[in-house]
Amino acid sequence: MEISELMSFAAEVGEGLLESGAETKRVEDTLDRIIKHFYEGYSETLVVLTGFFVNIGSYTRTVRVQHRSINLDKVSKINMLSRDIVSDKIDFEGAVIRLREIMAQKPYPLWLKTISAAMCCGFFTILFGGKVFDALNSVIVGAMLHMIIRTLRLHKTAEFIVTFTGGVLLAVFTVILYIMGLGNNISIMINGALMPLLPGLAITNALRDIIEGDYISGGARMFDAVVVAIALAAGAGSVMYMMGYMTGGVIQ
Amino acid sequence: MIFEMFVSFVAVLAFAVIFDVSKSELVFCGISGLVSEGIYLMIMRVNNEEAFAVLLAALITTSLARILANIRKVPVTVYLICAIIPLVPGAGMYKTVYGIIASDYHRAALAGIDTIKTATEIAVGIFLVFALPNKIFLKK
Repeated sequence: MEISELMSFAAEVGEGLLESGAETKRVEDTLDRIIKHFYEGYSETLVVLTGFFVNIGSYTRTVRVQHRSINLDKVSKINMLSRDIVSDKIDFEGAVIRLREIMAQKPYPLWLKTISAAMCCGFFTILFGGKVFDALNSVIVGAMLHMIIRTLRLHKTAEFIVTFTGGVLLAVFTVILYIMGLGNNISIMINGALMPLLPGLAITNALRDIIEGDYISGGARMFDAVVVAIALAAGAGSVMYMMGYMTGGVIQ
Repeated sequence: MIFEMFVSFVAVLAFAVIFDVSKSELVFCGISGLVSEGIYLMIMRVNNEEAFAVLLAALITTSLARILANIRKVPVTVYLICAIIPLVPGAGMYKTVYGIIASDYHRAALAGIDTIKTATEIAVGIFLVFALPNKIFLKK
């Protein structure tokens, strides 16, 4: 195996992990283990939130990760692959083929994800103390929001705009359905419907990066989470305030 | 309470599907959500102490996530994110920003401090468990 082949493999592994939502330390660790397993000489990796540098022997490669999404299945499968490589269960050619299979694998279909988003919203609404019709309202809002947000993400809209639009549309849809007579408690319905949009993964990864002492990525992820949270709440909050103003405080 | 635990199980399971968790791990994700909500509700029922409830729920579910991750050989993030999502103060966040927009600063401050408190407790819970060495969570 040539160094350049190992380099391309490492770059693909790192890119796959980073764009699927793995924390920085895991990417660094996985790359280090894989490279040290195949190559005895000097090697070094440095990973930040938006890209990474790999150095094997006298070669260096920089990879910029433009687009990040969440696919935890990919992260677990690449993690398993690196475990197998380190424990000599798979050789280099096998690993390359398996990585290609992992990267080509399709996520859950749109209809299943839409139903899940809807269920998630509905059941969280019940958990927060909503009644059956409140939950039904959230289910419809959740399903519509998921499809709209997915379309926005497919067109590579900035994450801030996506969440802000999500917040605005969430409030608009909820109020429209409320006016049509579905549901009673607007604030519970909104709280339930915004659950799938919360930056849960960003917060978790930020904390884990900070625990590992990687303050560049940890701080950046924490800031990412705060921006998303504020965009979401500001979108929903401003619509609700305008509704309250227009209806003279009937809807708030 | 049993009903609420079941509701959170389904909600967290659906949440995991959005993040593309593989089929074999979905049930365990649901269980992490169920345990976290269960502990939170149990303590809220016993002494109505929210700070303690969130902290203990975070501590126990983070430990559970680490144990599950070691047994199932899956990144701990998969379980951790599902375990903490019922505790995340989404409602408080919304109330804070709504209060600021509506110039109701008293309500905004109350909700804001509450939100920061809950978020910090979750963070502290995760921090404390991750400070422990991995050996403790390995299968004997």
